[in-house]
Amino acid sequence: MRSRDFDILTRIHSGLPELESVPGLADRIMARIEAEEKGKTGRFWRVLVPAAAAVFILLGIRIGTQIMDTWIREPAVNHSEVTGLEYLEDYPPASFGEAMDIAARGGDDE
Amino acid sequence: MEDDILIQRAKEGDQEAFRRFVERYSGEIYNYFIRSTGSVEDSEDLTQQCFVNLYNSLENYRRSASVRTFLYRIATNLAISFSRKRKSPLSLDLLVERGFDPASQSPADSPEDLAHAVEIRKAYVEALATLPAEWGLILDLRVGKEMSYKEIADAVGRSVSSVESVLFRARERLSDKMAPYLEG
Repeated sequence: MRSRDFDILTRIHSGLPELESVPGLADRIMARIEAEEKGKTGRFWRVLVPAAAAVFILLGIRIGTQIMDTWIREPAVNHSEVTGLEYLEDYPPASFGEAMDIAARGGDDE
Repeated sequence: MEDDILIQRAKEGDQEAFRRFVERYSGEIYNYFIRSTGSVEDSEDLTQQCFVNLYNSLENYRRSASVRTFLYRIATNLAISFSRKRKSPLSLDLLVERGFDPASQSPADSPEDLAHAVEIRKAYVEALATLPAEWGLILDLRVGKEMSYKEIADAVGRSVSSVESVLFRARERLSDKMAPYLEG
């Protein structure tokens, strides 16, 4: 009984007519494929151009810094030489001032 | 020219070969979507997307399955994912509006027989729309496209036994829904 029903259903299904394909469908499909292909190329350039610009800017900064260091910037000034200082401490070692300073800090000479 | 040759040429960049393949299958795929979505506009969009996806995955295509089966696999995935988002059941009235002739291919001799045949088709289409989307697709691949169980299994990503089981359950359910028309 079931098998007879299935046969009838199969015949009904097979007999369902199909719609005529929409005119120009193949053309629209090909146009969409071409558009997506162009889109892919566009996306490639949209990523590549900012990346190249960033690399260019970083290289510029690097080269600029090297030019500054090599050709333009003055050598670093040694202040102890310019001012004639012999020591950077507040008092010369083993001086009266240092002894007073140690005493004022409670004998801690660290 | 055979499908495989067209696709091989398309893989090598021959757009004209791909166009010929599109012209060969776009109508068939369009009707496959019509039956699964019930929407003429969405079916055209899905058909376009199906061929775009095929074009983009040509590199992945191996000859383990026929290119037609590969195409139906893409179409089935699209149809199932569409049906999860929105299901507008197929209606005969909608198809008639679009130029579908429900009486065509009908073996009826008299106007009464013809009216009865149209009524049966309408009931069948309505019963078909109540099935889970994938069941309807599998049934259509088997009955409408006359694919083998193995081809259907490849197209829907199921085992052959699972396809057999779905087909049996789909037919049983349709048989129950169509019982008033099948008696006698």
